[in-house]
Amino acid sequence: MTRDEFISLAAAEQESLRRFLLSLCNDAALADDIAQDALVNAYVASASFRGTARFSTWLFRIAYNCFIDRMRGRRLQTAPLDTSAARAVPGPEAADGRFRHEDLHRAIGMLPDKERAALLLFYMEDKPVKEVAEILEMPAGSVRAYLTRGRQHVKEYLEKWKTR
Amino acid sequence: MENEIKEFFRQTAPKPSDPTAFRLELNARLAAVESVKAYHDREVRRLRRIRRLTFVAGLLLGGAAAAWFILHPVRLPELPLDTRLPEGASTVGASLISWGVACLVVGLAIFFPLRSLRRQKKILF
Repeated sequence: MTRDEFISLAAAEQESLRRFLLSLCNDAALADDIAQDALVNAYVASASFRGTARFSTWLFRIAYNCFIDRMRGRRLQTAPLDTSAARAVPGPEAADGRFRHEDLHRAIGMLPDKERAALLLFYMEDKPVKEVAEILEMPAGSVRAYLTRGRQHVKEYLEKWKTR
Repeated sequence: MENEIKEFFRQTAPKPSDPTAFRLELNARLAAVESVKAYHDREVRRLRRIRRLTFVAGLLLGGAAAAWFILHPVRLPELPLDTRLPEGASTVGASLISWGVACLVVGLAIFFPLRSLRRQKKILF
């Protein structure tokens, strides 16, 4: 795969990859750094890409592994939360939308890595369970279990904060 | 229900910063990777050539030494077990020492290129 071919393939996935990592890390600079690492690693390994999986699945798997490597030995900080995107929520109920957004992303930030990744890939990136399973390198049944547990945990956090 | 959650996630998804700056940085990193890769490939080719040359030189030298020893047999005097060596005489022959030195030279010639190749692999992969 030439550099131009790689760049054109990566360009199509760039935004969703960065959004996924940003939601995963809650830190824009760190997310972009991991995304750069992932893309460089993917380029170095592009000769081994056989096309058995979709390019986006392969790229997300590399990015997720980069994220895991980066987080190994370092606990993910759930605060301070990057709320710059929350301020951009439009509409007449902007304030309400902002709080809902902040609460949701705070709740997601408190989930364990795998639950958070499964939720973000399935709900935010709209990836099917099979693809999520390939990215997270686990059986589809485990992904469904993580999704159920993650949803339950998010619901519990949101209800707890609502009653305060 | 699932679709509603998906829609909610989509609406509240964070927006990554300027894509142009990200793309520029990525291009710079990929260019750097390419130059390192090109250097690495060049070095691998060079070391492979050196390894081949060392192998051939070793074969030729070894063959020549073996042929020389075969064509020039040394007849050693038969000594009884209780023979005493004269003062200052060594039990290690000069040919044995030269053989040892030749082995050392060939060994080093193989060892250093391989070590440097392994180091480069470690750096890159």
